[in-house]
Amino acid sequence: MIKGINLSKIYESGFISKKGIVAVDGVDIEIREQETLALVGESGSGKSTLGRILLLLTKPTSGKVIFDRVDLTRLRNRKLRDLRRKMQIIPQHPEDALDPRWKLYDSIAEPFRIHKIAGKDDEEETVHKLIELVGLDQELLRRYPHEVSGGELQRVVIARAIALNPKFIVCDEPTSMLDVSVQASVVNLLMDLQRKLSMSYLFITHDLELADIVADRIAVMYAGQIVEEGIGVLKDPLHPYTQTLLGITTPISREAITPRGCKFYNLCPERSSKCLNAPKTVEMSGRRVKCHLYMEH
Amino acid sequence: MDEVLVVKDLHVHFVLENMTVKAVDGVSFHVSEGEALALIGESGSGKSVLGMTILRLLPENVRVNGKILFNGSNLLDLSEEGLREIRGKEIAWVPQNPATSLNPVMKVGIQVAEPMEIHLRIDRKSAVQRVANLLKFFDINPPEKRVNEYPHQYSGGMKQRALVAMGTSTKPKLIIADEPTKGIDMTKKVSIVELFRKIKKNELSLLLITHDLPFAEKLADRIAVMYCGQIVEVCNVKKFFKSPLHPYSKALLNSLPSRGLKPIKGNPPSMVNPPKGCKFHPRCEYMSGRCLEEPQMFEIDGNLVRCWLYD
Repeated sequence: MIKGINLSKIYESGFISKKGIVAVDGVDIEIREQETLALVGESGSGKSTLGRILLLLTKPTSGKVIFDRVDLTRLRNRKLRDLRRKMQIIPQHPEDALDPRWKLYDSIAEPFRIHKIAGKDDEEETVHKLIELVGLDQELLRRYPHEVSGGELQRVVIARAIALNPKFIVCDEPTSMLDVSVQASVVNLLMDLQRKLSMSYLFITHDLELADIVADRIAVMYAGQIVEEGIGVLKDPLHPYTQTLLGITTPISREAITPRGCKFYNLCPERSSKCLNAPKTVEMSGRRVKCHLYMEH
Repeated sequence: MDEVLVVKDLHVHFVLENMTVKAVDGVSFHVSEGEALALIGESGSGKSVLGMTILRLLPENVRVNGKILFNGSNLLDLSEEGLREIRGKEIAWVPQNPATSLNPVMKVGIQVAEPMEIHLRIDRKSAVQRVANLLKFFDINPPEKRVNEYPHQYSGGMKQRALVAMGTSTKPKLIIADEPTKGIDMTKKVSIVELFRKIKKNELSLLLITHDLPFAEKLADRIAVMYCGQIVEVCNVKKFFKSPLHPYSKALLNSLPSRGLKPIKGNPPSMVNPPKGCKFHPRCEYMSGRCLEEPQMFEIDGNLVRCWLYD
């Protein structure tokens, strides 16, 4: 469905002596049709940047994004805009994603207006269908964002995201600001819609238990790299970082400096001198791991 | 164990032009010495308002009735001056949002030192000295350098720890922490749990206001569940996470990802026109005709529950 090949993003700062911050570092990622890939990791590990790169909302410094056999990084803006119908994002903060001066109706109808799809009557009918689909009351459409709760707002954002029948959605921590009970209903809604509309999700979260429930496959990100990926990653973790994340082992230090070799070197309980060289990703029985422990030497 | 804080039949009403919001509606509970009580519930259930009422941080136009006894004296009767002796000295408040709770144009060291200057009457220089020790205790390194830095030079987790350092600096008897884990990721949560365990050892009492159930499980001795301005259950922590009493508590636990991610049916109640009788009855699986009458608190093996099932 969508594929990222060797993606990197370096943010440069400074005027005279340029300093680069590597947010995403040579990532290969693939999300298959009607699949949910959960992307887990700490804040600052580059999860959101990677999600935005796949939608070309952030331009990668290098690498390719292949969507429906087209390389998005080489498209002109107008072409890209057409393809954008097929790919959407559900952000972490729904209140920032909606215009506070617009009624919710207009926010949901905006995609139709931008892509000049529906006439006025059609538009109204579709918006009403959408709002029903996400389990909200029609009456809500006349209100402004500040007049509804966080959970309802997130449902409105979801309604807007699915308005143009997308094939791929990046869900960027869609429930991290919500209560447990509201989270349960929003996540259930997302999973329902995925089945009904056959979409693929990249589900970004730092909640490992949540990731385990929603995902078909899980990718673990650390310092801009995917260190482990596959099925059952959280039940049977191979990478030392995934193991510390799950609390099976504890990091040997507190200071997370990222050296030249393996990025996890300074914290890793199983490090050896080999780890001063960068490890390669190896594949073993459907799992991809980036660690010297599993490389043949 | 002595009771440090006793709240008795507390009502907090916000009176607006054409309606009254009953944010806290007849709440009673206590926190004992050295104990951690977690107050859990959904957003809008009145948890934070309750916490702020204890320190009288709410605006004047709020109607408060009931009693808040701290070491025997009613905080609601105290004058503003009398209260100042308690606020920050005897009871510390760790606010919800570390990013906006520090003054961006003041050095962190000076801000953390302020309660000590005021309440312990130490001069600034020695107070800042003590801050360095505190920062070291809470793993903000190197402390001598960090004391002279500004909030924007701290990471989110460090700001949170600096605020806890500020709260504990005057050796208070009770700390009220409002959602200390909101929006914080897994690995940093672990360090916040460690942090609170560390301060609990110093015979402090803790009132944790949170909707993060796994966090409450790790730290609290007892759990108080709030729903629509009322406490519906007060329960020992082990018992609560094994077999909670109130139907709402059961539903809340079942909505955790680790327990099946089942949503609670229906919507949270309105605080202006709450449902009659038991406030949870429109969403409750065990609803019967009796639930239209308001249930009282029943005591089951030392735990309290507000539900007719236990009559």
